[in-house]
Amino acid sequence: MVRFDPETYLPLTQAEFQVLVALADGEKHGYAIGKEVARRTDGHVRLRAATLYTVIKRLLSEELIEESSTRPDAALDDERRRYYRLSERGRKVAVAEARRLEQTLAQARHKLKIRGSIG
Amino acid sequence: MTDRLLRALLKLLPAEFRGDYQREIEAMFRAERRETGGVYGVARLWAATIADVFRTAPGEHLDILGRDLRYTFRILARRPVLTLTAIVTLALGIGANTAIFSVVNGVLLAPLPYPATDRIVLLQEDNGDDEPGTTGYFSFDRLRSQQTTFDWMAAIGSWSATISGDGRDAERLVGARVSWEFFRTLGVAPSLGRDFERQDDHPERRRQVLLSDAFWRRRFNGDPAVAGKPVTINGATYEVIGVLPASLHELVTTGLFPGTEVWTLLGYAPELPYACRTCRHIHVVGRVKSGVDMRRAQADLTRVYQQLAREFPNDYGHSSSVLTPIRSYFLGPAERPLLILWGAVGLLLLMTCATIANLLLIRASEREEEIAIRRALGISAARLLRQLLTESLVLATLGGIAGALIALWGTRLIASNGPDAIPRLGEIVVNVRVLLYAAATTLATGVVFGMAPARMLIEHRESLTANITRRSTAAPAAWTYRAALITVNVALSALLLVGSGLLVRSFLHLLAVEPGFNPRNVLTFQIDLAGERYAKPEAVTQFYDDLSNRLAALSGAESVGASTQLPLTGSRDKWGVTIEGRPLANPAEAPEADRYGVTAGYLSTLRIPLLRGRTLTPADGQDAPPVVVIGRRMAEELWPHEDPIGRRVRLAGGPDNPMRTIVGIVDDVRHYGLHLPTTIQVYMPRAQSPWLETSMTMVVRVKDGVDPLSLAGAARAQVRAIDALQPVTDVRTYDAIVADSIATRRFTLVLLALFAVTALVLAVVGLYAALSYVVSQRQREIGVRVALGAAAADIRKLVVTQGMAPAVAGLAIGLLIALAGARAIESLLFAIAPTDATTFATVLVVLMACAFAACLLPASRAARIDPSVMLRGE
Repeated sequence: MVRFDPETYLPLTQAEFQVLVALADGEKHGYAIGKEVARRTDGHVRLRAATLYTVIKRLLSEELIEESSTRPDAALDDERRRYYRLSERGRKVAVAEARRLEQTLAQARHKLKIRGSIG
Repeated sequence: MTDRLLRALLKLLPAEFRGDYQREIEAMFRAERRETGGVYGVARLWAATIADVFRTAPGEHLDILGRDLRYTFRILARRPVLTLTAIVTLALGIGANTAIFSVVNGVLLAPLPYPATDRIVLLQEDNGDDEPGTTGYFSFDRLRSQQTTFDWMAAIGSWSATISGDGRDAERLVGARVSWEFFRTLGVAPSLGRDFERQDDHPERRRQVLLSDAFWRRRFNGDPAVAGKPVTINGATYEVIGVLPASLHELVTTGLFPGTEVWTLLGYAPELPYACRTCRHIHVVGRVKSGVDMRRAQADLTRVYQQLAREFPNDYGHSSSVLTPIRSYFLGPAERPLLILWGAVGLLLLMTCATIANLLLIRASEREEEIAIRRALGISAARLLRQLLTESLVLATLGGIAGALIALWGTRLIASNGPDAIPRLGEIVVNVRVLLYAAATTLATGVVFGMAPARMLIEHRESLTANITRRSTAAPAAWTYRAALITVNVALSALLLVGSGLLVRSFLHLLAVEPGFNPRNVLTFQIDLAGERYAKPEAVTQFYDDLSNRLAALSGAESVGASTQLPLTGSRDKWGVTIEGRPLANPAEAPEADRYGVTAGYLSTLRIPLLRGRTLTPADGQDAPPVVVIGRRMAEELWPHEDPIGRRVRLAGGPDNPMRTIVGIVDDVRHYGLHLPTTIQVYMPRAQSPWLETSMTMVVRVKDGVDPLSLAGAARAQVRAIDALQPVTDVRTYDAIVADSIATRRFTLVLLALFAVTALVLAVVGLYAALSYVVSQRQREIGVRVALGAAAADIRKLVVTQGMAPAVAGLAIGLLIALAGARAIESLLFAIAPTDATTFATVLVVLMACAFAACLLPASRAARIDPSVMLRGE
């Protein structure tokens, strides 16, 4: 079998990366992913429903995320919602993307002579 | 409300995607909506959602299309023979269709090159006994001055113009003499210089010419200062006053006198002898006033003619002027053949669809399992339909591209080889309209032939899903579809075969028609003497006598003659016949004969048989007693109970014309077409003609085994030797003239026959493919039958019966439709009925034989099935 190489998935789109990161701390349904991304980016990245689910569909087909079969307490759960979690592959790809971004950032800092935090 | 709006919006996304995520998207939207307050907030949420859907939908659709295309190409590559067969079939169907459409488009649909064409009409004098035709100048002058419903009315006469005197070779041109209003009537203005003016349209001042753009470029190198320059035409000096626009593919003059390049003024006056009331030799066009309908314009013409008849009852009798829109006059004759061909390629395209659908059905049956599995995996019917339609559209597009190439080639072929009788063929181009037609045809074809297999696959999903593992035995429903397609194909090809069969039989009848003369081994060419030198009849006679002697002396030549007009060339020269001792109350009612002014050698050179009396001889010269030889029909009609020889007749017009003695009777010739009845004909010695007769067509019979055209060079040299300034034109063999006279028929026939043969091939291939497939599917069943003792003959019979049933049904349907519809081509038929039994019987036998042959191969393959091999394989 061909060895899994996360590099082949890079670069991710902003939306893909944000969805993977949002799932890093546990499974969520679509709406929760959208809210988490918006909260974490101070509302800079807002994933609307159609975009969010095209991203989810793509990540599912690439097996970077998977549908979770476990459901929270039925009383709390809306039966329409499906839950997604980060796959092992997805985690590796997200880490690889984070590294790539870090390198990009480091190069930019060096060339642009930026010290300390940007902003 | 909100839900419905959202659902409508989400319809933009692919069905597959909606199936997976619609409910979640709706839930998410509702949650967001709950958390959003205020009208402004809700509006913003909607705006963002709408923008979001519009942004994502195209990508999702493209994604599916990409997957479907990849999948399609894999499937197509898996069966290369089938795929290639389908593409070639489609290319033929779409290509033939587009090529014929480009002809229909260029000839019939493209607008005529004049403003408000529908108001331009041709006015033809109708004197009751003949087809409406030319008009006399006197009548034209009356019409022009007394009509009230036309903006303009103009006259056109033929003019052969030989240009010389500019240091270059003399060149003979097709010209036209037109009254000053001609180009105003058409609504065309010169692109250089000026138009003709009223005061110049006069016998003394008429020497002005307008040039065609092509001629101006060729002879004057496109000289921008050409207007005002003198030019020598027919030995006289004319002034060039302007050049007509290049865009003018002038239909009126070129329709009447093909290839017209120079126009001069008519310059008639009513008092001139050739402007007499019965000298009918000009064509009249008019532009009807805007808002006046054709009936009123026609009534206006009739009124003027009634007035003329009251004034000159002897000259006009019952004549009138008939108005025909130029569109139908010039395009009408081409309309029916082209529409029939268009209909034929339409049928061919339908057959293409049916054949491909059949091929796809075969493949679809092979894919039943695959489809069933995909259905079982929860792929929706809509999604599957989309995939299957993508497949047929890809196939159609590939076929369409190949078809467009065929169309480009075919269009060029038709444009350069089509008959002259179809106007504007040379102007045909493959333009945007043609390409759109090809694209639309391709798209429609793809959907039509893709639908049947797709529906079959999807309808049968239940039974299929239930039987995934079963080796299916050609589901009966699938066979029903295929049988129906075979029936359609056989019916359509029967229809096309009957149509082309009728044309072939007509054509054979036509070829068998005796023209009344022998056109084999004859060279013809035309000479039109121009210049002061030929102002006297003696000089003209001297020229033609000299030339005839020189030509007869050429090695290879057998005999030589000349005539003012030749049969089957489309010429028309009718003279009224008055019989001595039979005065007519109304000279306008005198019978009209086709008149040939001939040299002594003409009748014998064309081998027109002499029936009685004597033929014309060199002794019948200018000063000898006037004589004529008449045709058989003229003798029979005008002297039914007497011997015409020795009787005397006066030809054309006034008492100053001499009485001429009939000295012989010859057989009739077909003057106007092999398919038309013979006419009344009269031959006079050209030297005894009341006119100068400077324009003659020479006929040279060559010895057996000599190519007539091989004498053309020597003939030109002899003309040059007598007078280098006289150009030789229209050099053709008489066989070519006869062939040209039936060219439109041959054109229609060849194309229709081509389509019919293609149709037959499609039908046979379709039947063969379908039946072969059935045999391969029924192998097990057939094996069991053989094992149970069925003989090879039984098996053959079984398979042949299965194949022949839909073919026979198709044949019956096709022949019935042909029987009902053959009247559509009745006008193209000759000497046979549209229900010609021989044709129908032949088509029946041919199609049955072909269908049987197509069944026989799969049948004998079935008969060879070895049950032990079969059953061991299970």
